Amino acid sequence: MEQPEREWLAQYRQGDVEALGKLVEEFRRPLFGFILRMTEGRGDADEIFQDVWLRVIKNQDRYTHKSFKSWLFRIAQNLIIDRARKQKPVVDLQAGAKDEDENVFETRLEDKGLSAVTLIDAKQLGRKILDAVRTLPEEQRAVFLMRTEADLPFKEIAKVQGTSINTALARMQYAMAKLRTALQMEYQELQGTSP
Amino acid sequence: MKTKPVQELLLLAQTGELDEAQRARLETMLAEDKEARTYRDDLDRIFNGVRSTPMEQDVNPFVLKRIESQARAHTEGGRQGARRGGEVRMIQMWRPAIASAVAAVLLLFFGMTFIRQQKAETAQAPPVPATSAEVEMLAWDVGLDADIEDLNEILAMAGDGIEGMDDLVNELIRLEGLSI
Repeated sequence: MEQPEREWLAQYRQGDVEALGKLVEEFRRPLFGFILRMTEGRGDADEIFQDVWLRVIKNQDRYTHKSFKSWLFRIAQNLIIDRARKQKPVVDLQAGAKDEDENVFETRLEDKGLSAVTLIDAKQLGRKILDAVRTLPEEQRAVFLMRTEADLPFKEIAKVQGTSINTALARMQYAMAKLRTALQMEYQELQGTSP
Repeated sequence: MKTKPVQELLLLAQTGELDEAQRARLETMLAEDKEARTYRDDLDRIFNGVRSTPMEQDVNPFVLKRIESQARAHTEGGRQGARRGGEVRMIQMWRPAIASAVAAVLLLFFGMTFIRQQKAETAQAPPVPATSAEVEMLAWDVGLDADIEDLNEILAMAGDGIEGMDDLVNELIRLEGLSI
């Protein structure tokens, strides 16, 4: 287990509520990002985020995992699956119709002219990738987001999903293949519309 | 490009899950294979693209407040519960001893009260007048006492002046007013 997390959890067990606040803050972005992108269109990301931490609080004494992060994401994934089973799927009519001019991607891109990914407008790439991620089957999407949002290694992802490391790797490879294909199509569209 | 092995190695390289031999193999593949390099670059860009995209929304501040209040309540509740649990365990452990002590104290209290009541009743009770039969008995007792005194005198005299059983019998007869 990561040292600060172990320490914070131990401090919280001794009654230091602020130590739990540090834990929540440390995982706020990766955990909420994972939940939000796994539940897009459902609108219950906040509730799931809250429930994850309530379970952590409630079950802190039962916690025996080596990695706090993988325990956290396992709880999150179970809650997402449970809620998905209970809820009827809600179609997000806004999904895929986001403002194309939305400037959300500011990363550096080197244009080597080698692949479609490289050639798509840098400003749109982040949004395009996430739109494509939304179309992935749930298990592949979970693996992809656990890698990108939480930076979990495959060994831990396999534990979270209760599967083998080879299966986790295979899911990631399928996800990558679909994303590359989607971005390739995007690139072709861009080429077709360009003067 | 041997697609699957290269992709697996590239994915595992990102997370630092490769051993020395696998890393060396991957280096060779990347040096020799243009497609492998393209895959690596796409992988990096896709990861960077996702990671640098801001979230559409952040956690609701009320949710964070609720988590904090639950954390606080759980900690305080846990402490109080543990304290209560300890008290209950202590009481259960000492229950037989406490019950025995309480019973002993009650017994002592009632015993003392009873004895005090008895004493008070005895002290307050008026003297009982003697009946005629009892007066008779007392008179008889006085007569008997006088006889016993006489006998003692006789026995004392027997040690001095009276000799033999005949004298003693005669003296007894005299005292009783009988003649043989």
